[in-house]
Amino acid sequence: MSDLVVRGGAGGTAARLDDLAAAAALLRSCGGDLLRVGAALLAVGADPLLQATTLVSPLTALAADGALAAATVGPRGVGAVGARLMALGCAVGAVERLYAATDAVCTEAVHQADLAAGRVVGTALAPFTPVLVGSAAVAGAAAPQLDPDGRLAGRAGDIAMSVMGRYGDVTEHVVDALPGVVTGVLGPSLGAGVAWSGAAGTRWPPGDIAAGARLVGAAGFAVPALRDGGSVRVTMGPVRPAVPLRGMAELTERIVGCTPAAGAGPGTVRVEAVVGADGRRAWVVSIPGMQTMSGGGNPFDLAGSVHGMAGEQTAAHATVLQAMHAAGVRHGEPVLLAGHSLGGIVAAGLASDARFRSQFDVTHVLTVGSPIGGFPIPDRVQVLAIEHSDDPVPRLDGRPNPDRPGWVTVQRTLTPPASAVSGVVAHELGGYSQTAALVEASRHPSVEAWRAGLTPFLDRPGATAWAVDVRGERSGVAVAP
Amino acid sequence: MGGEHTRAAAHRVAVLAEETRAVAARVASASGIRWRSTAADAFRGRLAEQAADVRRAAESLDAAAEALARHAWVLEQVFAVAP
Repeated sequence: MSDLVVRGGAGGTAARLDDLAAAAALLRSCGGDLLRVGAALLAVGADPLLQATTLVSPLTALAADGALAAATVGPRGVGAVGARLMALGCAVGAVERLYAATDAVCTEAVHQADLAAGRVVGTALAPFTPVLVGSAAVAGAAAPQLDPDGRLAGRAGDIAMSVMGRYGDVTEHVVDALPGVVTGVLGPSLGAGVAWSGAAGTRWPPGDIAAGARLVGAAGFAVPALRDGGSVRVTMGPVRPAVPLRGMAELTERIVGCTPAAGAGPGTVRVEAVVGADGRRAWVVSIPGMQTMSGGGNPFDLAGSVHGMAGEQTAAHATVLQAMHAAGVRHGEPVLLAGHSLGGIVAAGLASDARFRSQFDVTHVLTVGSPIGGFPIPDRVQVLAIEHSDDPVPRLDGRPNPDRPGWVTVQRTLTPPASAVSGVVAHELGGYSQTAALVEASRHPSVEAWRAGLTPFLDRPGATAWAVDVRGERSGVAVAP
Repeated sequence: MGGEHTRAAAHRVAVLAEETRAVAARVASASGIRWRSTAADAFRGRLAEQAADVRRAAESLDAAAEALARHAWVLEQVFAVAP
């Protein structure tokens, strides 16, 4: 589809650079082989017994010597051709390394420029920090009286989402600059920054969004909505027959099925087994997005989002882990983690966690509308990230997703320009379901390569499926049955 | 004696010619990369030239093997009639 923008994957720049590196190595190897052929020919020509036969038949001996010399050291001989191949291989290899290094340097330079700009802004704001913090505290205290039903706050949030979504590239840089802003604001009182980062278990100054999220999460001691205990109690629903997935686009429908809007309880994840005719099992785990700002017992809340972005294992992560154990997922059975928004953060966080991977064989991750660019997901896990360019949430990682053979990012602009609620609509699962259908139909080589790996999770002759919903509740918090 | 030794040398050179032809095929296979651009087209053109050069080098090895084989035949004739 023409309105899909695809980055990374089998057809991405990194894959092409890998190709280039392989071509360079091949040319050097071929050049080396020809030089070895040349050395062998020289040995034949220098053979004293062969030289001695010149006395018996000088004419044919001279002809053979001449042919051998031409084949070995002549301008079209193996020696010259081999040397040219070696030179070409070395040149191509140098270009590939230069391109990769330039790419990395440019990415780091942009990040450092964002941080520096943030520090300038933070330093300028530093003198006003007491006033700003005081105003925020007063506004927070007065909010229940001024905006009892939260309508104004909701409207302000919608407008912020729309503005951020409309200027997504700027949003990404602003987010990337936030750790610099914090550094600048606390610059005059270095001790406060060091103490804060120490409490958050990160270093000072914060260098990326994960460190910034750790700082925010550390405020949980004072702000209950940012508190995440990390442990859960799970309740397993009945095991019921299911229809195996017929395509990638149905994954977003699976995620919808986990939401309260579809009748599932708060904090529900779905684990689905696809059993082939040969008895082999593959697993699809659907993880919903954030369901409430202040969850109480629901792990899929603001605290889960903040701590999840910090790369920490939250109650939402624990819900998925325990749900998979409860469903009987075994190591060696392929697992596809699919999540929307916070669900994608959880999926990426689990796929990045070596301890989780030692228990479960995560082969695929699908995220929709999730900021996962900073997660160190290993190369062997195949990632497909679907993002709307007018959805601000995937921008909250402050960086583009990696361009590498096993990580495909598909972007699409969902809403028309000047839409008043573009950011909100663009983040909803309904829009992502439409986009997933377009991705399903895409003939882009990166998307086709990703889809080709889904076979164990899809319907096929003799395949059956069953599913179980598992509901997670933060430990110690009572939740209505 | 000299004829057999020379024929063995001709055989060695013929084997080296086959190895060189295999190298030509490997060089040609490098053009299957997914890189798409004007520079990539130029690179593919260069690869095609290099593969052709390697094939020509293999032909010159064939010629050397033939020359050695002819020399070996003459040596065998000479030693056959020699007392």
